[in-house]
Amino acid sequence: MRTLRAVAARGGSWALLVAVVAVGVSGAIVVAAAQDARGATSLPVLLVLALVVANVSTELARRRRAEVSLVRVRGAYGPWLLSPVAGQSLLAVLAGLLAGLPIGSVALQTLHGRWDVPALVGGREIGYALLVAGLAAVPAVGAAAAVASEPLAVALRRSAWSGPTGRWAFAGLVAGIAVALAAVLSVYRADTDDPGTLVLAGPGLIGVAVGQVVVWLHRALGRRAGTASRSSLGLLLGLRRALAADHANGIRALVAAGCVAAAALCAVTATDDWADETARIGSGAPLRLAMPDASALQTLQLTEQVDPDGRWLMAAALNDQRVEPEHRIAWLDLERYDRVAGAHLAGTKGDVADHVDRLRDAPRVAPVTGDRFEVTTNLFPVSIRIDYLDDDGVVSSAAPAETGSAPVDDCSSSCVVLGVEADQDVTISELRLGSTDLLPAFGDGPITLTAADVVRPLDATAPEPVVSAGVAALPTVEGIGGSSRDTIAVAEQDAVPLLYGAGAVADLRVGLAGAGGSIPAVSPVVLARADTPQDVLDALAAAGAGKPRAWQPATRELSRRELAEERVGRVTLVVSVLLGALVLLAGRRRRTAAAVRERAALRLVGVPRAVGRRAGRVEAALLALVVGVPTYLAAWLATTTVVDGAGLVVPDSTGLPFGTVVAPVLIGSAAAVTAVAVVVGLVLVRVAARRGSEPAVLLTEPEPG
Amino acid sequence: MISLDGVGYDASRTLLDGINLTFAPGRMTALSGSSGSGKTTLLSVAGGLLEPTRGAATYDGQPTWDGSGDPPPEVAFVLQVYGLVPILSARENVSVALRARGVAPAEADDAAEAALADLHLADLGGRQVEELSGGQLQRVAIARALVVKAPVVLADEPTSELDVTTAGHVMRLLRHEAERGAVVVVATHDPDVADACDDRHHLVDGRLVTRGR
Repeated sequence: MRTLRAVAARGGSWALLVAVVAVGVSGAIVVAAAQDARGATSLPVLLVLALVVANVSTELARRRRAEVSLVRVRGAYGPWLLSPVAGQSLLAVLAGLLAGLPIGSVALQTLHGRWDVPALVGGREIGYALLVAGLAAVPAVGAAAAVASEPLAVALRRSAWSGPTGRWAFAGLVAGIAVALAAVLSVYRADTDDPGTLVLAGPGLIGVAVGQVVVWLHRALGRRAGTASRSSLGLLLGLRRALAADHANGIRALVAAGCVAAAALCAVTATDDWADETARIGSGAPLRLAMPDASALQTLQLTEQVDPDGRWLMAAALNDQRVEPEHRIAWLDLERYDRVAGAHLAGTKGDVADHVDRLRDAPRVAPVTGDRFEVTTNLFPVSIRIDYLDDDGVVSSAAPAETGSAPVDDCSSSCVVLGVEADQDVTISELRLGSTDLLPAFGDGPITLTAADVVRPLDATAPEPVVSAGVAALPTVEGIGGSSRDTIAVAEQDAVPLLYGAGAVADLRVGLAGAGGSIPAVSPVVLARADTPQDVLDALAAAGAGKPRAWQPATRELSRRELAEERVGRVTLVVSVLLGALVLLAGRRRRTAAAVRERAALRLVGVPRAVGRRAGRVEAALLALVVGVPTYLAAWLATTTVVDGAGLVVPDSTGLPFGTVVAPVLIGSAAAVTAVAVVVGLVLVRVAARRGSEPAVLLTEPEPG
Repeated sequence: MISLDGVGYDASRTLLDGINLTFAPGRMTALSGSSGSGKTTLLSVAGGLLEPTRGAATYDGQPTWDGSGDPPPEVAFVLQVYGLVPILSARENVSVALRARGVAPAEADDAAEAALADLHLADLGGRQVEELSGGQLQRVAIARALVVKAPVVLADEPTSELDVTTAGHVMRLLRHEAERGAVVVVATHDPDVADACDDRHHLVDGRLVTRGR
């Protein structure tokens, strides 16, 4: 009953502890449901939770300091003393557990459809929730015990509680050193193949350790700041406020929460970016349509017919059935790359926009149309035969009569001339199919033929420029027609469109030049912009195109373990941010009351209010630095060592390489947000303290604590 | 000179009523009375911390209440609960009072050291006030009030936490303030302290029942 009465009297601090535990419990439930057995862990966030629980419990216990002192004066000690003090905190932990279970359950039901997590809280989740509550109870009781074990002579004084003393202070020191050593060990083991729990807990350990080091430095500076006495009054007051021991718990918890949040943010962002980039590169464009029954040439011709201006469609063909990079090649109609795929691939590792001109700097296929071909030679009679690829992808030939003209079949829409031969030595001075002069395709001037020797167009034998990924050099590639062809390496990238991290990309028109025969291994596709009109898509469908498949910024590229890491990272991020926000609320009423009295004391001796405001700015700036800089350093250390080394994503041999998790901008942003949160917390206290800070408030005793 | 003309002060009940008093420069005045009799309220109204509900409190003809709740710069207070700044050391608490009046930091620190030494606190100047005992805190508060050489010193139970010897020493310092021409008013329970003053007034339930020696 006494505990319940105490709870009612200190509703704010008590409710805060309930909220902290509820956040931890509900977060643990989601983590338990989402995490993979081998990988992700909630340990970092549990470490932050322990700090925050200790922080809030301390506030709760210190509110009872005067009361506890009186009970001690009456002779209470041991369990009789500790139980009413710790009972409040334990009751809050229990209430937090009971509140966290339904919150976690609602979270699971909400995420069930998207994350493939169970909709109901199961035994594993409840086990995690109980574990969290049990872990929260330890610092809760510890903080209460630290207050209750304060030397009575000190406790009975009117001064504020300065923190644990005696064996509790020693225990805190030991715990701080242990965490620091564990953090060092997690960094040391980060590069091993089997990182283990210690490494997975690394961001939390590093955050707590750096936070602890900052508190030690903060305390040391606070003791040695005497030289500031000669500085301006605003600077002196601001410095003293910033170095006040009361900030220590908040600094430690915020640095830890900020570090864990920043590391989680980096991990989630890097994983999502990798998955999205992989999906972008794999799709090549916002829409992709398979052309199961068409040849590469037909696909090219189809896009030219349906979209003659090249506004929406781009033909492509790829050979991606094998894993060896030299056997993986994609041909894109690069003439349309900028318009169709440029924006989609911009900024990805697979963007080849900078190399389009060089990839196209080679003889390209020139489809021609007509129903006859004409030839002029230096002697008659002679039989001239041309090989060409017609609409059905079949090699055909025509033998002209001595008149120098002959019909060709199936070139009414377009076909590609593959070669020319004669039955005797001859020089061709004119070669025309329909209205197209074919002579330039064979070189400058007339074509000199030797009997029974096929002369192919220049484009059929010219080396093919490629941009490759995952291989240092590609001396030859398999051509569209299945034959090998020399290449010229234009550039080496981490990835290429459609083939991820292994293969080469070339221009489709260059690749088609001279390609003859069947095309068994190549899969033609049409790539399309997202805004492609429906009538254009209908026209493609009528020509045999498959259903348009829209690119999705999805995480389906991730393995089960990687998905678990990513989701646990999201939960860790949210819980860390919530815990950090709750830290700012801890003891706010007490700190506001103290700020009111401090302000009143300064006004009593005539310190101008402008000096107080200047001191407030100095304090805010210093605390922002004291929290922001270590948060950045801790998060940078955690991401560069532990998170980066943990191998969040392990691509297969053809996959897009997973870059670094370290994102200085994200880390800086997280640190900045943490610093700004500190400033906002201070401003809220100072603004609240402006009300009722007349020196007359000093006529009454301050509240205990 | 501080004048209280028909001063009354009401909170949840009437704390002061019909107070007519003057505190003259160069004299020490004691305000005595039981707890709750209105001594602290009277000092606070006289020093401009509280606005009188009725009547007027003036210093040299000017109202001490300026609407802000801040005391006039001529007034230095010793409060019963000290009113020190917890984040500052003992020396800094004393020094701040001087620096707020425009004294250079180095000079203010030296003067603060001297003021603390006068109250046998020379060794404790660097201590945070939270580390000091009640008696030490009270002496720091006294040092802070005396170091500024204010024309008016209003001290609320300035010896309540002190031993007899130290209390006597504090009274001598207050006497010194009066001798340099300051108005010195001391609210006290202690008959010895009251006896050490030039004038004494007794309050009962917010009313002045005895005036003069």
